[in-house]
Amino acid sequence: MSDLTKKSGIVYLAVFLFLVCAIATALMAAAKLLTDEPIAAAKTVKTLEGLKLVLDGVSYDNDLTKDMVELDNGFKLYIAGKDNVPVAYVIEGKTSTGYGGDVEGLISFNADQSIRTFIITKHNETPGIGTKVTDRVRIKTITDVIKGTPEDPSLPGNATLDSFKGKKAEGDLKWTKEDGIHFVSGATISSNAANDLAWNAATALKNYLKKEAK
Amino acid sequence: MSALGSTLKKGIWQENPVLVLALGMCPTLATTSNASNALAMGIATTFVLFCSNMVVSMIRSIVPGKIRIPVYIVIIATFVTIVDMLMQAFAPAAIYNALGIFLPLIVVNCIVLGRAEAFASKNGIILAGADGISMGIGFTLALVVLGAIREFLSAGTLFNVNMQCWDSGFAVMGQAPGGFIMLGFILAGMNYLNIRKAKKAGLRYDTPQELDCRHCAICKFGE
Repeated sequence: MSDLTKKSGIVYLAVFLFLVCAIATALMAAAKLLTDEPIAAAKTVKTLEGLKLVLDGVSYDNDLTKDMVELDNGFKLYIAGKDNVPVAYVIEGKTSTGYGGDVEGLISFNADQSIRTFIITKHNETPGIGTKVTDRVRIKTITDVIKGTPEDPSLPGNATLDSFKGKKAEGDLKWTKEDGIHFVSGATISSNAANDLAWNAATALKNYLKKEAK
Repeated sequence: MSALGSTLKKGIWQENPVLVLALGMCPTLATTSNASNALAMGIATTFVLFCSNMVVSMIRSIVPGKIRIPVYIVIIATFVTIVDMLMQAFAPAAIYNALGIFLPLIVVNCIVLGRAEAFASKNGIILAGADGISMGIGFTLALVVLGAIREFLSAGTLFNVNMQCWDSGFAVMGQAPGGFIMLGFILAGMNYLNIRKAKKAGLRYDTPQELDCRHCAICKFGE
């Protein structure tokens, strides 16, 4: 067989390249078919876990994903109810005003529309600076690992995110430091993004419930 | 030592892709802000290196010389896409999000294309696979060492566990400038050790022969 690597006719080269690309595409399509379901399942698990986290302490008896409403601004509203009466609301929303781009989060509200728990689920903020606003972490120390201390299952605290507890969207102006929101010095943009997200979610809920009541 | 044994060993120290061949600098600096990300990146790259080296070696006698680079890139891109999808489906969300854009960027990681061109296209399948594993392990080790040092200095933690013996956050180490500086120190240290070892044996220390500009066929400089 003559040396195939020396062939240089343009048609031969084009056909060869086409075949390589066709085989590669087939393999990737197969991988996509294989992983489509696990990826969708992983996303649902992530959402359900987040919902469980922000609704900790609320007793409800409905399937949250079935009672999901898409709001006008793209946010998702989950209504938690007991015996067909709403006991809590969760908004899944995002804002693009973060330092590193989009900031996505889950905010749970009590039946009276005051904020219950606020967690950030996706962000691109600067580690060590912006993450002081967005991350809820519990530091695991080496002595804990050696002693084998069991992990604390409760939600770790975060000064900024916890300062939104109990806030309601009244009026047209966003909350400020005077309202009790904790802004991290040196992470103004990240703090403002969290504020934007919570405020937009609270207003969206207020408008939706007003519309439903009519 | 057999060819297989020496191929398996050389990627770890003598021809470490990051610390000796200075390949793959971008992902090295970008994913080593902490040790866990570095480890995940290293493992993903090792898998791609292993698979793409073997496939390139399998088809080396039928790929026309003029289009070998596009063909190698398509092969590498396919494997990276598959690794990306597999990680998105099965890896913990924290790790997948941390790797972010750097997973698809393995395609243009110089190490993968460089080894395909310099080694896999000229050697048998088993040797090519061994080279892929060895370069991958060397890459992972370099990344984890750099990542561990940077994580410890900037946050006092190792693999997210607080070591409780370093308090002052040396923040610049967690960011790009610190990464460059630390990498420079490690490279200097490697060079010092290699030069000293060569001097003891009465030889001069030279970087590996196949890897200087004239021996790489990608830009035809030597022809």
